[in-house]
Amino acid sequence: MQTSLSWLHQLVEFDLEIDDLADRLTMIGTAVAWTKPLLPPAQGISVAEVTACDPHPDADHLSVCRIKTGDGDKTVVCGAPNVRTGLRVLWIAPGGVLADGTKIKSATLRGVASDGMLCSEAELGISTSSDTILELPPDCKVGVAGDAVFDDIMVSFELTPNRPDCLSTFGIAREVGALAGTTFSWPDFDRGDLGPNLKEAIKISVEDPEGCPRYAASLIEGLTVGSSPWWLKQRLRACGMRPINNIVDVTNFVMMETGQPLHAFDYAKIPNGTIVVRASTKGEQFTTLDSKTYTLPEGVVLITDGTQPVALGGVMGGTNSEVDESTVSVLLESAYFDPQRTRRTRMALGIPSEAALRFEKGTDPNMVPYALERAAHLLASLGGGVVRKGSVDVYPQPIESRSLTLSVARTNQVLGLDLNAKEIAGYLSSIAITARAEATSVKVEVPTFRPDIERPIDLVEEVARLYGYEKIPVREQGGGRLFDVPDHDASLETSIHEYFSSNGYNEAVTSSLGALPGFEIFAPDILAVALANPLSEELTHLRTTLLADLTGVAAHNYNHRSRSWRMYTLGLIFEGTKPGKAPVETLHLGLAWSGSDRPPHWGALDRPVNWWDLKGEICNLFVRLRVPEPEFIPRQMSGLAKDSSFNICIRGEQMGVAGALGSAAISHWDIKEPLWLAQLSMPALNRLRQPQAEYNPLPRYPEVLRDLALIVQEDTAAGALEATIRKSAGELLTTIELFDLYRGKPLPSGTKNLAFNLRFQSPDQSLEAVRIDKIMSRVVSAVKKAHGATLRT
Amino acid sequence: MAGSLEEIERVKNHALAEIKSSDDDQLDSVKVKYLGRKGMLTGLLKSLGGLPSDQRARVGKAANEARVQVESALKQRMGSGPEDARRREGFDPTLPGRIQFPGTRHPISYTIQRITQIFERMGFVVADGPDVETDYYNFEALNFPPDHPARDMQDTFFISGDLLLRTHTSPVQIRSFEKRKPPVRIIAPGRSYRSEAINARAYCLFHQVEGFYVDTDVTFGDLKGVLTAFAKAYFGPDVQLRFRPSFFPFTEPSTEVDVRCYLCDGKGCTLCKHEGWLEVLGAGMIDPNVFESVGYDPDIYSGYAFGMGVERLAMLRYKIDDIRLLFENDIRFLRQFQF
Repeated sequence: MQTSLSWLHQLVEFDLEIDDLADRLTMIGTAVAWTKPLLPPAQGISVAEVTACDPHPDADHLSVCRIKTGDGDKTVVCGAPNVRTGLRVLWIAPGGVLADGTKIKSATLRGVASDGMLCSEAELGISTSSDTILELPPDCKVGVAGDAVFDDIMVSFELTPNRPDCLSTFGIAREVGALAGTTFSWPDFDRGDLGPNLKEAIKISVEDPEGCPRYAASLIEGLTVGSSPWWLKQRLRACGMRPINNIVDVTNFVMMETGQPLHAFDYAKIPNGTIVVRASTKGEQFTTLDSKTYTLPEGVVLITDGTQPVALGGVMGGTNSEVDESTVSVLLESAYFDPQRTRRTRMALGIPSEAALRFEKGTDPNMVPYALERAAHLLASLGGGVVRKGSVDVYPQPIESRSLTLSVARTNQVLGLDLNAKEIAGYLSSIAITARAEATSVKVEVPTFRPDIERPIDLVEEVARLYGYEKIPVREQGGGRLFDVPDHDASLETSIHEYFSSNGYNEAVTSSLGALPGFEIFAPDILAVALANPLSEELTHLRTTLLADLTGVAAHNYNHRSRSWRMYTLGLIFEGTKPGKAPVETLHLGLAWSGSDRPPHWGALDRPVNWWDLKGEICNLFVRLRVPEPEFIPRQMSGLAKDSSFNICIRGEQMGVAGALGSAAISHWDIKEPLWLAQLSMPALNRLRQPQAEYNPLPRYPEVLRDLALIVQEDTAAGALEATIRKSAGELLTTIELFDLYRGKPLPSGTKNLAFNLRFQSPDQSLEAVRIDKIMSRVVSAVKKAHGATLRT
Repeated sequence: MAGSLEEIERVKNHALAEIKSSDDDQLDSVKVKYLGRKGMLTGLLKSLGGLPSDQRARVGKAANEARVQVESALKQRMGSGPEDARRREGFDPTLPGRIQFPGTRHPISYTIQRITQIFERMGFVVADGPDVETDYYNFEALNFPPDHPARDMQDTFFISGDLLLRTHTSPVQIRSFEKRKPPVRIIAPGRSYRSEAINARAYCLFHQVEGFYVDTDVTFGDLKGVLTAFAKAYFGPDVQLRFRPSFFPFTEPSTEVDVRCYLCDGKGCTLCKHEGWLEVLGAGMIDPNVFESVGYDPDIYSGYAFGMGVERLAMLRYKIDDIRLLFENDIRFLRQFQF
């Protein structure tokens, strides 16, 4: 919504500067987006009169004009076809600056010197029209500054959808009146002579009163289509609208004034002046004003001439009944269309229509006759026509004001105020809501221009905004009577953030929307949930894995020459179940490790990150989270490298994957660095967390250290060997540590040497060497039996 | 590569020459090269096992001597401890220390944590809800009737049937009310989605923190109180707030809350688009229709609700001028946030 300051001054009394007015309107919920002078600021522009106009001696399309200015007579060269003797125009003097910053200098055009220039609307910055120069009304005084001719300020509003009443200058004037303590009422207007009875010329029947509860029309005859007077053009410009001709301009002007959209039909194109309003049947076709043909769904409110549609009710007229240069009689429509029906039509057909946007938010059904009469007489006076006498207004079930009772106590309870009934009634009356104070309540009649006020609570909001949110006192309460426990335990997440952010990882936050091909590389077995209305081809599905995101992030960073880093992310993945059923959403932890194991240092070599780094990190994390030590089971996981792909399992439960990026992903994202990835299920981690163990007394007896070097076949897993050692050593073995792995001579080929460090300790006695020897020989025979291991001597 | 005396001699001489000619900062790698676990001398020592037993003792002795010699040459140059090092000529303590990659929190998740902690101190508890919602929870129960223009304010991603991606965290209100009886005081951080073209100011998803409190005596004054307390904790004690009437279907009265622009102190600058105020959150008193949809008696209970955009708060706080930076995860960006 956009209107002008001078228009508001014309409608309601107030004494506020523009900035103050804008701030105060915003603070009562009628938010002002911006204010601007009607003529964009420029320098050196003033009114001039063209006193002579001759063709340029050397150019066909140029004229050489003598003009009278406030600074004496001048000569300018002008290319506009509409320049002529006697015209008042805006002239920019040499040295002046246009709104877009262009500096005007004296120039010579094809041998004729030009003192400045005559301005088009585009040059003045008020529209894009640059073919013609702006024509001022003949009463403009020569020498007057341009901004005095355009002495107005545009005010643009950013309204919430619940306030259709403010989509009109009347509505804004009402709000201004409430601020200023003055009253706005509908202004009266001039009526000319009336023609013969309207009822003889038009017949209206409404067969769809649900879609069109009110339909009124008027007939203006003997019109001449032409351009609108200066004042009307200025009003429209101030509303951000382009003047077109008197018929279109009047309907637009009255809409901006009253909020009531109007439609003008060429009466000659409506056979017998018959209008039938009905609902469309499925498949009907209609061509709108902008020459687009639509196939209609069922239930569109159609304005027809009895046989064929002439307009989509409340949305747009048709080419077949459009007014044009030769129109003499206008059938003017003023109606109230049902908001929901209008919205459905607009959404179904995708027609951007100013009228439809107003009807769907809710116009005032009782504005229909005022706006109609206002527009008819204005049009008649501007176009030299006559309005028919009487009215045709089909309104079978009048929509009346709504009666509500507002409890004073309730109002104060919600707002934390202490108002009395009279004060409440006062606030409501200031915006033309009829309110009568009683002992404990206020009886209210809500006028039909406020369809948003349906319940007492809606009145509470009106009272609050007019009282001023600012003035409502702040109440600082203590903890109240609540003692609650969260249904969301964030302690695991907190531990993870702490662990990774203090271990050199950068936290990533990635989009949960992405493209299917990337997801399918890592999670081909998970049904991805598709969006019905995706924004782009890159964002079509909900993610089924975090690894695609992390690989994408890696690719981005490689493109910016960041090759060595570690990253973690916490995010939901979405597993589709059945079409139409909600997916299962599970929080996961994603890890990525790229490049080197550590930052380069002058004193120590870094090296490419490898499996042991990633595995060790996961083990470290699990210790920190008090989750049992995981098993890493080699298994080809989709998206990971053939020989570096693992299932992470705890007690047989698979709860994650880890490994190096596989070839499919490498080529999909064009990855050129070693990249290691892991993904772990957060609910599984949460479930597997052990409570903090009880304290273990510190050992009082010394520990005994033994080394154990075993030669085994190449395919013997270190983990299995270690498990056998643990088991056979018994509980005196406190720790076991692999400290060397050796292959090559003098070992037989196909074998390897694994050397362990074993620590023994007893909580209640010193261990004698003999006892440990016994354990060691038990271990040696156990590993021999289980793995064919031999002692290396 | 069976260790012969000759080979041992050759490796030893190489090592001694290299120790002599290396710069200080190369000594570590020289050490690794010869004496490390896979070093050349270590390898020779390890291979002794493969020799016939008559040779083993002789070669073993030579190899050991070579190791001792190399070690002492290294020790001489490197020093054995800090004392030696300091005495040593060329020791430069200003050389960089050995560091790890810098770990960082993401500004979005850190901001969520900060906001949540502030409200937890005020007695709120955390709850959550799914990203994929139904029309009922996202709209209908929150007093967005079907075919209502208010739905246009939220560009929605639809899935199928009545499933959609939640456009705000407000559905958590309904889910919490269904599970609990008043009093209820909850903070609900989460991800929300809007079908908006991606540019510097808009992304297809964002994070929101929803908060609400329902009891028998909750007023607009309490709402102002809790948000003022939050703003002081988040922005600092001198923050100034402005409550501006607005419209949300699920609150009545509704308000937008602005903070005075901290960059220009309200004088007007590019950050606040010359308005002097920064819009930070939406709030209001919970609409009675919402209470009715969850079976709370609107004549007994009243409550407030608020929702704040995490990206907006983070971008204001760290002066991030392009929202896409938050989702690109460029290491050069992430490493700037040492919270």
